[in-house]
Amino acid sequence: MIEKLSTWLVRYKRTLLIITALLAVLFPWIFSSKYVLRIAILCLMYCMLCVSLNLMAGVLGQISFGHAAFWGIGAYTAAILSKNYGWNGIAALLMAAVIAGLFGLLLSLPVMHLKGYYFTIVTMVFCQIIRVIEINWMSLTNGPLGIMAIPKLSFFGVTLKSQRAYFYVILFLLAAATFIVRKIIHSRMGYAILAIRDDELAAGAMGIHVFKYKVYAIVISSMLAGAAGCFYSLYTSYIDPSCFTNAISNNILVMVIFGGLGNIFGSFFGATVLTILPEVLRGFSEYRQLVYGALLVVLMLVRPDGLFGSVNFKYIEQRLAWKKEKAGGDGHE
Amino acid sequence: MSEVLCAENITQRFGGLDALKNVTMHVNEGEIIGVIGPNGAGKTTLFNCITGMYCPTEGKVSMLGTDITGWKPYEITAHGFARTFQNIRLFPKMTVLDNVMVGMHVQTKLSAREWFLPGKAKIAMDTAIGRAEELLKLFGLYENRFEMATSLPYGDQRKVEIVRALAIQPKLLLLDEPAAGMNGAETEELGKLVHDLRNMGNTILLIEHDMRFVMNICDRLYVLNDGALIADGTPEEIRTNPIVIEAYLGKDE
Ligand SMILES: Nc1ncnc2c1ncn2[C@@H]1O[C@H](COP(=O)(O)OP(=O)(O)OP(=O)(O)O)[C@@H](O)[C@H]1O
Ligand SMILES: [Mg+2]
Repeated sequence: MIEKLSTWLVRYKRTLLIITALLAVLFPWIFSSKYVLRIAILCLMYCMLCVSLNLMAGVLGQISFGHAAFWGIGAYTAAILSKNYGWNGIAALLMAAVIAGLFGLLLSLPVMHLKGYYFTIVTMVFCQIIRVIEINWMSLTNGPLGIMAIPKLSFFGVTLKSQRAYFYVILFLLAAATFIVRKIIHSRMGYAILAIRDDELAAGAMGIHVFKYKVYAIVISSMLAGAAGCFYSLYTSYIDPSCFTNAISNNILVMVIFGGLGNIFGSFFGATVLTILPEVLRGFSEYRQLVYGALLVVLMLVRPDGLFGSVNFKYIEQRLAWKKEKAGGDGHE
Repeated sequence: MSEVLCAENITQRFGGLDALKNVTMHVNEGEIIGVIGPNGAGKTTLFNCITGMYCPTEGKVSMLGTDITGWKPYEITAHGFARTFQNIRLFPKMTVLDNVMVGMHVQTKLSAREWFLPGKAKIAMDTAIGRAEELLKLFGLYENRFEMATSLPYGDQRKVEIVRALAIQPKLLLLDEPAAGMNGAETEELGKLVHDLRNMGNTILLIEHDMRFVMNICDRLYVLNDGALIADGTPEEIRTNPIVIEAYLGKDE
């Protein structure tokens, strides 16, 4: 069924993209409720986090239970820079990405020779350590109290206050992040990273500098998460260490796995469904977690790769085009 | 004629086991050289030493006069040696074409200046795709290029590995038992292909158990037994060499 759906998605790709883009742009005018917009904004931010984690976990194949750490580092960087030093939004965004990227580098260098589960465990501990630092480095992070009254985003003297404005900001950031990750996947670097995921030794035998490309993927992935963090702190105006826990890391990873490792569309899907679902289930209060959990268990039983994990849209597209070309060729003969 | 590969006094020790003992060999440009020997003789280990998978315990490997001993596999590949694996190692989640495209990694590298020219990267990739398709046509795999590589029959998978290695445009192509698992007709076809590849200017070093295959296409042979080089020479010389006959018959008994 998913295969059929995927083929359908590919076949009507252009139309669907245009419709989605239109809906996205019009969304804040269709729904003006503050609550709905807030959920939509968080949803888009989670999409961005998932797309960035997917680069590390799905494309490179290094499962990370610590992605919220990079998100938090970005959030704290932006909060401190804009509150204490009066940096503007764009500068804070770039710096948040750079600092998160540096931590990504720091994390990736020593663990690069660790395989599989070891890396995963290190990411888990990394997230803990970052949180402990956030709690205890009072002078910088204001400890468990968090940072309050972070200045709102402003462009050229205009301060963004409405939900609508933030919706468009995160929509743009998500589009940019998706564009970057897509570009990478379809480039020479993407082939190298995917080859490393499939077979490290064979990748090395193809002349691929395995170490270098692993670092690239991890650093870019953490930079994008840092950028999402910057958005988060400027949007909510308040962050504290409890925003960036291991539990949140797990949630992001669950979204990515739910949608399917390595599939960007899957990440969108996973993030959207798993952000909206808990809200929809709010009415059921006590059964909420149960339904949520049951859904995940069923999915993992039926599709262990996640919904779109075994789907490769590029390949479907190539096969469709090839089929068409062959049919067309036969027609002329 | 220049020496593409020169291995001098290679010894590879695994704990107490000497998998290679003082092996010296070389390959000249344009040659097809075979390495034969009974199971466990150390043939694959020799390939691993040449391509940097192992760093030989003793000895020296050089490529066109450059000492490459101790280099990392990716450095050696980027410099000009490409190999296939005895136990096929295709990228399982990629199509045939994408497997070959990974092989294009070295060829699509942009210089620092090209990096900043817009469109250069795309041109390089498109050229690479064109080249990959040409290579696949040569091996009769063009029609299958959008299939998952590991879904192909065994013999075709071996061919994909060869194409992937050729994509690197190596100075020396190392094939580890390319005909293993192929039937008679396929083996014969492969023999022709290997011949064509040489005529197109490739230099090839191959390991093979199929004696007829080796005797037909190789210019020279090296015979390994128990990690030691026991003979080398033209197929004619090897066929009639009493030491070789004994090594093979001895194993059969
Ligand atoms: N990494 C390793 N560690 C320990 N021993 C090894 C290792 N690699 C190879 N050997 C041993 O070295 C010897 C030679 O192995 P090798 O794979 O080179 O043989 P081969 O000639 O390729 O045999 P075959 O025809 O079966 O492929 C064998 O005894 C093998 O067990
Ligand atoms: Mg072998």
